[in-house]
Amino acid sequence: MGSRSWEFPLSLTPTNTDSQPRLIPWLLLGVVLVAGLFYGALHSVAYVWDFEAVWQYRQKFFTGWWVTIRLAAASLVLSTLFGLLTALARRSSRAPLRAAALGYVELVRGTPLLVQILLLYYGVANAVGMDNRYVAGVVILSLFAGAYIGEIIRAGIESVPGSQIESARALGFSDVQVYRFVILPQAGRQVLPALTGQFVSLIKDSSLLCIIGVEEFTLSARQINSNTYSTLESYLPLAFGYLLLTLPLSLFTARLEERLRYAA
Amino acid sequence: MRLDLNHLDLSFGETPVLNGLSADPIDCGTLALIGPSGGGKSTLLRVIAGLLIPDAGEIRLDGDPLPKNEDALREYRKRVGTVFQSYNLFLHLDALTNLVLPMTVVHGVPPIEAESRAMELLERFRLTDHAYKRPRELSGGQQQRVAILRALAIRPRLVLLDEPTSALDPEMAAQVLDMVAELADEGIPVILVTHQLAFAKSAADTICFLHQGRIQAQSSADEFFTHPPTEASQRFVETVLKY
Ligand SMILES: Nc1ncnc2c1ncn2[C@@H]1O[C@H](COP(=O)(O)OP(=O)(O)O)[C@@H](O)[C@H]1O
Ligand SMILES: [Mg+2]
Repeated sequence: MGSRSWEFPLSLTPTNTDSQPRLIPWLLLGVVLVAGLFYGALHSVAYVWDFEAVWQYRQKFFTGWWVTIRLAAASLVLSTLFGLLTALARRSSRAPLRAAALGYVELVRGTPLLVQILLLYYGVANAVGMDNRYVAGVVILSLFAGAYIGEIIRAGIESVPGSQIESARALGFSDVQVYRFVILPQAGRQVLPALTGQFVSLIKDSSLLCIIGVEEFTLSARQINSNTYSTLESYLPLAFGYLLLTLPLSLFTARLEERLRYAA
Repeated sequence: MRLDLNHLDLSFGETPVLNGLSADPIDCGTLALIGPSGGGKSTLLRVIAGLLIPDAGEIRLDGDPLPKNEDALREYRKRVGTVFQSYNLFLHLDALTNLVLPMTVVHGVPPIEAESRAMELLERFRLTDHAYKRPRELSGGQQQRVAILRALAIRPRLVLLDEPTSALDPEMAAQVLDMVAELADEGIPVILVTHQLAFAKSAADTICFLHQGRIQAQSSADEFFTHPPTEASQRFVETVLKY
């Protein structure tokens, strides 16, 4: 122990950055610390835990959680599609298409999701007769995430060296084949970590759909909260439920990044 | 191969790169394009590869004019094998798949047949051990040899090589050039851009000297190096051979 000298934690000299096996213990430590902090804080205000009332509503928790999973899964597929189309439009040879895609991206990135949900739901969705709030929610969320995903995919596409595209064209690949067999596989590897990060955000952002009455996880927790006059007893399971979805994705991202770093 | 280049013009924006480029009718197995940097060699090769369309002028390969619309040009490109300076191979695929993909996707060769053809080629050029390596796991010379095999695998009517050895050390370059010489011996028509004049002399039948977007000198390889046809080409040869 004593023989090892202290090292500056951000040193640039190559050290073993093989963080994978250590990530989980650190995470657990973080959870324990946060829980301890909570416990201490609440103890000092003499908070009395009462999970009994909330436990009665466990089915409602689960239903909400399940709705969130389905919303997120549907939005994940749809937003990827939107993102792909946006990225292609941004690279199109037609100027109006490029301009439209750019406008969409900037509009979405320049306004809060909450405002988009309110405007699109009470404005557009009602006007076009889309009265299923779940469908509307998925579409709105996908439009939001699609803009970010589009930029991620575009950056990935642009990271593919021009020589790769020229080689494929020289061999007689059509434009579609160049995308399918060269650009997208190469860009895909590049963007997968950023993309899963975006999916983590998507899961969390779906909680905002509660303001248009989509009975997802967060709204369920709020209803249980008001029914039981509890506070933390309904919100702690909420945080836990989201972590259950996002942590595996984050771990997956970390592993991907690790693999990409060492990939030949 | 018969190649006719008639009054080719091509500019990038305002910069003219090919300036009414013409050549005497070329009829040979291996043609070497030499000349100073920026003279337009790569551009001419890309035009012959069907990757760039000249603003004016005509190219004929074996008597047929090169098409001028993208669809027909793509058909034409399928039968021409092109190898650039470096980074030819698809980075996400191993050597074998680099050979197989164009055969299956572009030429509709059944996968099993494509794979056996690819393996045969790799074996012939002693690259079997590297079949399952990605480009980044191969040396520069191995990459270029695999790239040449990929160009051969589609059974091209013509192979175009743009300074295939300029990014390589001398030993690797020699291995690549051995392979190019072998193509020439087999009667596969080759057009080669190179700075290696000794190689051009031994492997090429005809030399074209490109300068300022034109072919300024053209002759048989033997003659070119004993009596460079123009003053500019003589100066170029002297400069390159000085050290
Ligand atoms: N894609 C391009 N855009 C603009 N200029 C180019 C492009 N490709 C080549 N050029 C210009 O054309 C001229 C000839 O280039 P090139 O054909 O590569 O010459 P060489 O291969 O003989 O060195 C150079 O001045 C170069 O800067
Ligand atoms: Mg060049």
